[in-house]
Amino acid sequence: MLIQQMTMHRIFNTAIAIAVLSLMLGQAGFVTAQEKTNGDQLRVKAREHRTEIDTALTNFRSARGEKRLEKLKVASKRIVSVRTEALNGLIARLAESKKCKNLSEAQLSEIKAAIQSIITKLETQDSDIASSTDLTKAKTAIKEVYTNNKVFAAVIPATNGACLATRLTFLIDGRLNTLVEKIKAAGIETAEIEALMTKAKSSAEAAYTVYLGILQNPAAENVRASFSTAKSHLQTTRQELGAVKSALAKLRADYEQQTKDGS
Amino acid sequence: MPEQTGVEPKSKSVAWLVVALLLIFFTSVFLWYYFNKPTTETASNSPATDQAATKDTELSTVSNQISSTLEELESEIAAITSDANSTDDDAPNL
Repeated sequence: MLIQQMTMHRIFNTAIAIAVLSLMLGQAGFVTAQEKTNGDQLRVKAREHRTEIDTALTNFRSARGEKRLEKLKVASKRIVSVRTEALNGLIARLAESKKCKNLSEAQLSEIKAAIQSIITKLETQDSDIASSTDLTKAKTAIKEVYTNNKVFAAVIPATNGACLATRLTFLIDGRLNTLVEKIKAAGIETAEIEALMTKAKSSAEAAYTVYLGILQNPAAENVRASFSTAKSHLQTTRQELGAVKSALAKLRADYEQQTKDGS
Repeated sequence: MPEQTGVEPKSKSVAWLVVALLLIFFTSVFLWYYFNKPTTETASNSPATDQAATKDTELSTVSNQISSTLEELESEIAAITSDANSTDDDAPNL
């Protein structure tokens, strides 16, 4: 009878810990509606400006003689400014967004440095194109604005990925770990859950490293492959967290069974 | 002497009045205690009942909340993948 009471007490503590976990996971708040909107805004802006850029490029194509270089420079100005505005917005978002709030100072610093480096490169390219007197060289320089920076296809998604990876690490390392310690203190076996958490954390950290690599060299040929690798790491994290969830559900089922047996 | 006889009934009345008031007071106290005692006991059981109900409710939401978190994770991965496949950085034909 005494053993049964002790078991019930331990399981009750576990249940409370699980309940607290549920609240904390809720508070981890991956995406609010507002965040989704803010995240989409950069994409919408890019599309809006794309139309504007297309018009400027059409004007360039229809121009003749010396006007061609002049019209090309007008288009170039917009092509560059759309990117610098997006990147400056991204830096501001790093500081303000809840999605990126779990970045450490060091991570924030290295991500900002990578983005700032791209902004500086774009400003140099802008200046070079503006002072260019050769149409062919200007055309090449404009193409490089697209291909050497990959603001929309690499920098922005890699930054989002880095933020996502750190949120997962923070969840595992902080709140989830604290709760597992509580469960363990109640005398419940947590080795399996801890092993799953270690795998999940390791994969999330690996994903962050890959995303940072993309940010630091968005023009690399293997960028697409890197995105696939990072995605694979995040999916592993998701899988392991899913297993953590199942393990916690099992604890709950055990608790319910014990309650039935006790009544 | 006749004066003393006239005062005695008044003293008796006051005494009876005091007794009556005391009786009413103690009866009220007894009745209050009698009717409130079971309520107090119910109240002392209530937190345990509430706690069990709350615990059960919270437990029943655990799986859903974790699932929701995992779904959000999946949707974010999909959004990143979609952005990474964007054609916004494909150089135009000049």
